[in-house]
Amino acid sequence: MADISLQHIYKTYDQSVTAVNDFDLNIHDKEFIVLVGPSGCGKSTTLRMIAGLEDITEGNLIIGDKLMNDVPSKKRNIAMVFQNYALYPHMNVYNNIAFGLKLRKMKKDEIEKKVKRAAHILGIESLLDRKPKELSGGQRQRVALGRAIVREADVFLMDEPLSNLDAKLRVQMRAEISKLHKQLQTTMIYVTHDQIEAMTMADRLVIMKDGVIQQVGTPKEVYNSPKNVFVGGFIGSPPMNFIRGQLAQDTFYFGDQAVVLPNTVRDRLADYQGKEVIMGIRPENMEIEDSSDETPGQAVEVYVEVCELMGAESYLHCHVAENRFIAKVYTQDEVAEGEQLQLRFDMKNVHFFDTQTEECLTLNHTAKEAGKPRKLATV
Amino acid sequence: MNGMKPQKSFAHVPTDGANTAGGSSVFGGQAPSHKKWLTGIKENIWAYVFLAPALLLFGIFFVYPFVYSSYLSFMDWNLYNDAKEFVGLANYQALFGDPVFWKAALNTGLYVIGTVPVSMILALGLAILVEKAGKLKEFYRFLLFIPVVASIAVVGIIWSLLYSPAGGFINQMLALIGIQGPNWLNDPKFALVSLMIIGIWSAVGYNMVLYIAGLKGIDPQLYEAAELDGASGWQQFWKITVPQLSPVSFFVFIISIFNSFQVFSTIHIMTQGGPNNATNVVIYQMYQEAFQFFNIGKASALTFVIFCAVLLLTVVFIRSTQRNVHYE
Ligand SMILES: Nc1ncnc2c1ncn2[C@@H]1O[C@H](COP(=O)(O)OP(=O)(O)OP(=O)(O)O)[C@@H](O)[C@H]1O
Ligand SMILES: [Mg+2]
Repeated sequence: MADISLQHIYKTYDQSVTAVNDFDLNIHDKEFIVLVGPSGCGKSTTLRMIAGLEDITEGNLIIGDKLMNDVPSKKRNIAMVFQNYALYPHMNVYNNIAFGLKLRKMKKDEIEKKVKRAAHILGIESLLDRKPKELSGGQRQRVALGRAIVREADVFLMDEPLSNLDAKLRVQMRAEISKLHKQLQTTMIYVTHDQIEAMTMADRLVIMKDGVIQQVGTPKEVYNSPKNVFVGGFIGSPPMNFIRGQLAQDTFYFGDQAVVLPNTVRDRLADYQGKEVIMGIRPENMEIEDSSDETPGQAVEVYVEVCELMGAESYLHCHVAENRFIAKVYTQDEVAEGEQLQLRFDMKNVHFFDTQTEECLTLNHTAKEAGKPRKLATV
Repeated sequence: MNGMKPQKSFAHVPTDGANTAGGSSVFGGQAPSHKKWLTGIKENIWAYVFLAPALLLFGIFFVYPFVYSSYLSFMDWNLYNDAKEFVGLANYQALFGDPVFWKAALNTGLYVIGTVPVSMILALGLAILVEKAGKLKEFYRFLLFIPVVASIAVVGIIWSLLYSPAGGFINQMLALIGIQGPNWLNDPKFALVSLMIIGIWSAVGYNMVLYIAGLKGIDPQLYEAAELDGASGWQQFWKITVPQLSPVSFFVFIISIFNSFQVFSTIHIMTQGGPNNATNVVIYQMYQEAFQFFNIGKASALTFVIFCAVLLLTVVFIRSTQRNVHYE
């Protein structure tokens, strides 16, 4: 029910530590936004500023059409799920969920209806009489969600809500939160440092580093067209490989190997002829050369250091001269350590980056549909 | 169903056969449990070794005096010679027939009721203020803790000066606003209240430190969550702070009750139970009976009565408050 506009927001602690630096973003109504980035990049700080738990040093926060900078938390109609859930330990599950409603002087039977409904959605009806300490991590997490759901808040904030759960539960809850978002039709802002969570749940991701937004876009966009080396290396698992080399004509030279650039890429790199650049290529865009194949020049001779079998695919840790990278190949054939083999690089999906600024020089050369946020699935 | 089958087959077995079966099973059951008990001791031998000094002290300073004074409460003894005479319940009769005892019991009750809640509420309020005091936090905490560590003699002198009827600070202040202050410590109407104020003053610092520790233990995110849930500061205090502090409050409550129950030194130094027993309390009466009137038997009877009262209070409080105390 609310667009959120963060306009050039800064947060400075003790006049010295800049935790959030010029955060500028428009969040659409009902959008699922994920803030993702390494530890200490300012995700929680941003979220807490939206919640009103932290003062905004500079810039404007607008929710709906109202300037919120000086509105106290309790008047912002925002619900938040904390990383360690922050359930009230002395109240049972029912009262934890009902707390916000009771404070709003809602009628008893209405409260009961809402709590029961939330409990039903989350499958915790049988736990309503328990105290938080009598619950498992996953159950607590659901109660925390329940507490937020019943509030029918305009905005739903979540700060790493799954980080205390085991891997299996995390996958399950990930799907449930996505489902919940579709059911509730509220704007959600979700913080995580787990790029898989970010990719699977987000309508749009906001990738942050050192308090600065690196890129905003749909999962597909940031995956296919990383704006800089950091984003390329952060999104995707295993991350994008970066190979330093020289550009000459339509060929990229590295170590004693070379690959030929497709036209779309070459045109963008006109200014970098003869210069050093970084090539980014995802592990899945390499495959073992089929000896009977056409297009020569794309195959690269590499040395395999380690071969990890992951199941359907294997990760080959390879190197060419001093460049190390990982290739994700769909084979279960054993590759011996130290073996030399031919890897085919899919040059349609490579990216080039400036060595100084680390900015992408070939942005969107692969993208088919960039710029617009993904349409919301409505139920 | 499973249990039924052997019972049925038992019915066919001749009586003494069943007896032997039962007997052997009882014997067989006892032998291992006896062994278990022994290994239990063996396993815990070090625990007992480490406990021994504490148990010894407990015996010397609690069990022995208790048993001995219970014994004395049935005797007539003046402390100076060995002549103890068994007098049955005469000491108890004398005690319960003594109006001073009832006066002291009433005063003790009033003193407890007058000091405990006030010192707890003040301590909690101060703890919250001190925690919010920022840079001067340490200083305030130190200041408020001084009464706890001050020697009782110093406390006595300071308060005697404050309470002094003519030139005392309190009455001078009252005079400024046109009130003529009473003779605090010598007026039967004000003497007990004056001592209660001292009692509160000296208990607040200690209780405050306990509350500060309790406040520090509350997860600050609970307040953030409550804030987002729409709770005002006052609602946060009642719905988060108070219940979260309940274990501390319970501890402070019990400690304060027993400390107030045992008030002695201020009375001994400042009023000696006077005027006209207006500030006499049970512990002070016990002291008077024993060491001023050398009525050891009656003093011992009083001791026993106090012991029972304290025991009863403890049980009642623990029973009645436990439901409202939230342990994590
Ligand atoms: N109260 C504070 N005082 C000073 N610096 C702070 C404070 N809170 C956070 N910071 C700093 O601000 C930066 C951003 O912190 P923030 O908690 O937002 O990181 P984060 O992205 O949420 O990291 P994580 O993934 O570890 O939770 C960090 O460098 C942190 O040290
Ligand atoms: Mg964080």
